[in-house]
Amino acid sequence: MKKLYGEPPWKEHSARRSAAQLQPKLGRSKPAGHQRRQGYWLRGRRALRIKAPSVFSLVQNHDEMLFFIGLLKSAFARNNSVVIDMRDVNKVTSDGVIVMLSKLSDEAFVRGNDFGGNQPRNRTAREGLQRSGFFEFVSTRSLVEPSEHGRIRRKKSFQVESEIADELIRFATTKMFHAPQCRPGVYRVLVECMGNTHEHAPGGAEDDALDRAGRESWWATVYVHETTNRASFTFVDNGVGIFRSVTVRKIRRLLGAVIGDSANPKLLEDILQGRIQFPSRTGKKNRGKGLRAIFRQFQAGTVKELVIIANDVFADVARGRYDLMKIPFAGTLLHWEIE
Amino acid sequence: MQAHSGAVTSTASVALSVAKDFSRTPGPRKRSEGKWSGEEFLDLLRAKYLEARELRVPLVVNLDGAAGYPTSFLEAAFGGLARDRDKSPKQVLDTLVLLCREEPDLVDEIRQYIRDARA
Repeated sequence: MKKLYGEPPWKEHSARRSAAQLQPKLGRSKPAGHQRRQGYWLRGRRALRIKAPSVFSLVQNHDEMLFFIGLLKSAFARNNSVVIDMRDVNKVTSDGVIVMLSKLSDEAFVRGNDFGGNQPRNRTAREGLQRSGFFEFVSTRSLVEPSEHGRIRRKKSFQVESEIADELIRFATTKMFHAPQCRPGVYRVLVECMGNTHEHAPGGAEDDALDRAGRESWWATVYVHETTNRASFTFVDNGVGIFRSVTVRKIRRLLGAVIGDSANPKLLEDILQGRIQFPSRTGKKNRGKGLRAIFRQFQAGTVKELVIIANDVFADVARGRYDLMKIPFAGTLLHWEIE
Repeated sequence: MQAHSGAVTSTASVALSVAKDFSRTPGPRKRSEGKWSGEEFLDLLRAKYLEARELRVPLVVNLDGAAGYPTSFLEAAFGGLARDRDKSPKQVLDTLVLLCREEPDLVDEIRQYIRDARA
């Protein structure tokens, strides 16, 4: 037996057999050694990586943010899981955060798909994200800074929740002045925004419209900036936006002409300035004054740096700029500051 | 209607403080829209107004101390009062006295809602 196993033919046979037995373990086309799974995976499914813009703010970078939101939307529409890649984000603002939260919490936007993400590598941006209150709504395995500088609140019920407006103002003023203060102008703006979401939801009969208003969601946030001691408020609703609301369609009918969407910036300016009476959805007089009331607070100086983004209009009210955006925003955003 | 910056007259009157007698956080227009609505406040306002009229004294409404006032709340309450069948805007304007140190401009605004109530 010893003579047989020592002979070259046996040795060649044995070597061939060993190689044949090893091959299935390595795989036919894979290189030798252990290979890691490439790409992004969520719950066992390959996910699409979508890179967030470097300036993560709708107010300061609306073109890139809206493009990014469009990419998310089409990825979800094609039933992809998505990983939001924020590693190269250098600036995060509270308005960018709640726009993202409002979209990711919208079932119609996400369509049941999974999503995940990472945090910015830039320390300031990462802290801004953590301190905004974002991680009160999103789970993470990392340790995060407490949300000392920001508060985020969302609509919890069918009704206008005026206590939330009071809570956000007291949080901001306590942070800024070490004691809560009343800011009636800011309170009015916030409650008007909530009321606008409620009142101007599209629909036919009043009951249907109220039902849709119950389903339409809003998010509100305040963030206190340490260095400037200013507070930024942002209110976002994921409705149809001012220009697709029943109310504005009424304005167009009242004006007796079909006005193209290119007139939207001018239309908003006219509404804010009071040159066009903004009828409420119900058509009753002395209603529908929310936007005008918000503008009057800006004129009175109780709110500063007012920005309104709705459908395809970007209005930097403080600078008198009313521009048409290339990519529309589904919903309405109002942003302002106090000092 | 008289607008005061804060001084209280010595004549008898019926007093109503929005913040103390109703809510610090006035809400939307209608009861169905949320808590502390203008409609809800109108019930209280009507009762106090009636009391003031019976005593032939002004109704002093103190607007200080609240977090703020949405337009729809004010219109529903004060405009609603002037729309009552047994009242007229002029009568309401003559009976109401508004105290408003924190937001003096509210007086003119409320006055306008009362005048426009039946327009």
